[in-house]
Amino acid sequence: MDLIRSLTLENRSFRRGIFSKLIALMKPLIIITLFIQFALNAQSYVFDDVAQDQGLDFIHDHGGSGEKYYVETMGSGVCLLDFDNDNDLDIYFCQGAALPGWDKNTVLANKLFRNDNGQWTDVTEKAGVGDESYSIGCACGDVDNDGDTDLYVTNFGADILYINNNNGTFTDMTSAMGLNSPKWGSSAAFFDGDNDGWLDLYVTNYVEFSVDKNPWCGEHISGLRAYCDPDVFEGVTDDFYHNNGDGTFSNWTDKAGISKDRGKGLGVVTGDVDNDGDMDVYVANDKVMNLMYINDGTAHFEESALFNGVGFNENGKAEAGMGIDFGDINHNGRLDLFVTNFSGESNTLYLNDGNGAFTDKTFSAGLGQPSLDVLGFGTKLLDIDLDGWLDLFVVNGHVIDNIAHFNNAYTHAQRKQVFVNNKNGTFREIDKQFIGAAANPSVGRGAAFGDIDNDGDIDCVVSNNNGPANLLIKTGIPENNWIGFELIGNTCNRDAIGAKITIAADNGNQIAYVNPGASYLASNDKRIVFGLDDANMIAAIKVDWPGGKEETFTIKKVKQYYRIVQGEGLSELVY
Amino acid sequence: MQTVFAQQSIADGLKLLEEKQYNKAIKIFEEILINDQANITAINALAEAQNKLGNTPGAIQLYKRSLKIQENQPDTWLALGNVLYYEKNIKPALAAYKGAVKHSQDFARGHNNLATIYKELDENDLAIVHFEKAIEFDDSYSRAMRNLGDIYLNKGNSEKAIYWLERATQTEPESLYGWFWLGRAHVQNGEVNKGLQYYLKVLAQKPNLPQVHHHLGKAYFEIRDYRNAIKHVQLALKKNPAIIPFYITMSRIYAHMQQETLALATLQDALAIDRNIAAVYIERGNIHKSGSRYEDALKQYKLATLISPDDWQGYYKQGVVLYYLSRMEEAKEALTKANEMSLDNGMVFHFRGLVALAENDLKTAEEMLKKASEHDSKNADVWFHYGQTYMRLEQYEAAKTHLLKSVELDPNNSETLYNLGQVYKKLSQHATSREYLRKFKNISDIEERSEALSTQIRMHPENSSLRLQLAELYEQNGQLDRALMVYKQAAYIGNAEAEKKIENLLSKLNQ
Repeated sequence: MDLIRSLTLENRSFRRGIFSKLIALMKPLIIITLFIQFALNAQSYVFDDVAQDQGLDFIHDHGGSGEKYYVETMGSGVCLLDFDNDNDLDIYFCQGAALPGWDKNTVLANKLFRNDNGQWTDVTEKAGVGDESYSIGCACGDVDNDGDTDLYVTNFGADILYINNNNGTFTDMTSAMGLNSPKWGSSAAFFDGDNDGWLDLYVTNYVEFSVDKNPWCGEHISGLRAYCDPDVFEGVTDDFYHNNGDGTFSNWTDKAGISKDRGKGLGVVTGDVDNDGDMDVYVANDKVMNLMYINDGTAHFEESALFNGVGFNENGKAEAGMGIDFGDINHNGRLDLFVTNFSGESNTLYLNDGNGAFTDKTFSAGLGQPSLDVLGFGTKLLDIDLDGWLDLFVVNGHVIDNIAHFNNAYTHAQRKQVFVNNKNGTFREIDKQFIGAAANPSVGRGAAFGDIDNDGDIDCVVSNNNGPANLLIKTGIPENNWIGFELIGNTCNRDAIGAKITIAADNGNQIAYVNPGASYLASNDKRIVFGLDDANMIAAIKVDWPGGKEETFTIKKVKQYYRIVQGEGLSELVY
Repeated sequence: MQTVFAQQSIADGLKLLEEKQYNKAIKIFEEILINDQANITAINALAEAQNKLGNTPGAIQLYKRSLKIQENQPDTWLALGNVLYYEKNIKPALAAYKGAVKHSQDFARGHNNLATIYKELDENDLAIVHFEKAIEFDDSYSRAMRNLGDIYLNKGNSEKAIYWLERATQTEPESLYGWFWLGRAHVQNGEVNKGLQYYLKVLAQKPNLPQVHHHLGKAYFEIRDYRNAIKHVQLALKKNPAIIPFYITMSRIYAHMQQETLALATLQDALAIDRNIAAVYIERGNIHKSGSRYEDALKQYKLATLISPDDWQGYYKQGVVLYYLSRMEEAKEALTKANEMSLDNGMVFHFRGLVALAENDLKTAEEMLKKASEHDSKNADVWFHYGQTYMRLEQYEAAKTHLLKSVELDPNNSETLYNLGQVYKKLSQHATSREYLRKFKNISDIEERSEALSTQIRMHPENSSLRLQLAELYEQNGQLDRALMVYKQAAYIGNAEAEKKIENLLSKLNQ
């Protein structure tokens, strides 16, 4: 017995000895790994998908039946808006519609969900916004300057403008207001093109397609059908509607210089690219040259993408552009441009060189290779870690549901991507294990970004093609300091779209524009959030209102939202 | 010294040899040798007779015996060499022929036969020397001239090939080989119509030669006479369905006309004959690659490398499609392997450069593209990508230099024109920048429309009106050669209007 015990003891001590030697050897490695994890997680990039938990039960249905109608694969969109002015963001989803051969026993309609403090209530019927057309995208803005947010829905077919009645309901005022766009509309954006104080509307239109002329596309050798290439279809012109300020719009497409170009528009974003005080327009087209319309200040535009360097990628190739956003990624006071593209193409980052000229810096910025095997749609330049530098969120998802047959490295459902700004002109992708539910693959399309839970960091709602939506809430309470603004215009448009905010903080200056119209088929939170890192003082806040007036402010508190009313001062917002 | 009797007997024996009465001849010579073992005339004649009866070991032994007695016998060395050669004892045959020319330096046949072996051993420089010597000592030696022509043809020196083959055909106009090889030389030299005429000349005399039909078909394909191209390659196949290169040519013609189903079916027929030819899998891969079916292309290229693991091509092709599939690590691996097998290969360096560019590894990109430009200096795309590397490095003067080189080689390369527009902008030469961008846009617009039409043609290869539209697009934009090619495709499929367009365009081109 003693012998056995002693042997056992010997073995134990032998094993203990080996174990402690191993630990000693691995200790430095363990420490380093933990440190890295800690460092990364100290700035958390984790998102939780709370759609199911919070009752946001929207499921997109593309209305298809295997015939691969081209319209099935492109949508749909989603908008964030506070439709009931209760200081939280509500969500509007665009829905597909039945196509020939679709035989499910359900009604497909767009949906409006009211934010009830962490739970979502379907108020579509009451609000009167449950359009049953084949909806593609949406845009939000206060078109009548009455203090509530109106809603424009682009359709495969006639678009709709819903005017908010300020009582939880909307009225379809499309024809009454002189809007008539029967084309296949995609993204749309409200902005004040001539700075007359009223929001105008730019609608991108896609291609000529009809359900009764749906060509067979795919691999004729194997007989495998797939969605068609956009080359198969003719492009169409976009539409520009001028808000007359009297409850009507006029179609200014010809007058504004837009009708000269037939693109295959999928994304639109407005921004003052040449810093001349008016909003220019950038359109992402599908496999044809993108368009950059430079505004002369009177809502007359000259197309100059070719000469400004934003029509093509660095190879001179037109890409399949979808989602877009403007943002100053390198703190030089100029708006840079980011576009999401097809798989096999990289997304494209154009840096603003000044005077409206841009240079494709995608690969130098580290954004090239990580985007080759995914297909980008909704996107936003936003300060995810609130360190004062714009990061990047990209929603992906392929358009060909049987893509693995054509390239077994590609998938239909794809991960979202988070890229962090390295503050030196480059970005790095955060590994999927550190982004939580954002890593879950889905067939992402429209994505709207905003502070949905009003905690200072930016969240994201994603509409997935033919599947359930994601509500990605950034976890935790922001560690870094931040400051947020809601602007209200008086002489300019009430939403203050086009207003530029400049802050001078301890750690440098930042600029941002009020502009909810960006991403893909979406409208975002119109509030601006600036990350401040560890700075807790803002030396000055300057607002350049559309139309030329400017005001400056000072504040004492960070980690706070402020409302700035044109000509009336600044006040703290409590949510 | 031979006796009178021996002399008479040898004469009789030689006569019998001439009359092909070999056994009787052998008896006589053997009798002579009983009494006169060193009679080399008898030994040589006996050797010849034995050879004719198929007793080649016996013949070889006898020739060697003869040469041991008297080494200075160029004809005997030659005869020995011939026997050894036909027995496929190449090295000993080589030695024998060397013996022949050693003992008679102006021995034309000796030089010719020696050169033939050098040619077979791929020692072309030595082959050239000896063929030329054969001709020097006998300027009617048309076979030597033909062989020289063939060597230069295989080396790609078509001018020299034509020179020698013309001499050969002038010297021996009845030799069909000469006309055939002369046809090949002209085709290689870009004088396709001339080459065609020579092939037709051969076929006029011997209509059943599959190789000639094959080459004629290829020549017609080069001038885009699709009807005749297909006709002659089909004839070649009919006459000899076991030759794999015929299938490959047929498949290339179909693939060129976007008739991918037919192209693949043709290659399937080749595989039914022999499943182990890497070139067939490479062709299948190429068809899939042209249709952007990269996954399918990859599978075929991998099969090719399984069959021929020492052939760089399969790895290179895998690298290319992996690049298009955005699988850069795997692309790198495949291309590196290709490079190990083919050290100075401009194409491989080029794609290694492209992979490095995709990874933004600019140092490697610069290194690879520099090598590519050294080995493939006439490739406009290489210079473009090299220039693009400097664009990324923000070294705009260097970028400009390389891009200008590219545009010099290919003035219509839209990518280069675009980048020149960007680089001149960076160098603040805005007027020049705009000029290049305008040129770029014109070409890019045409490319956009032509690619859209090509996509549709690939989906509907039987639709001739799509091809007509594409041809008209090219014609409207001054790309007359391309327009003609596509009109001919449309005409081949049966579009009558295309025939008229061809006539009009040809008269335009002749003006």
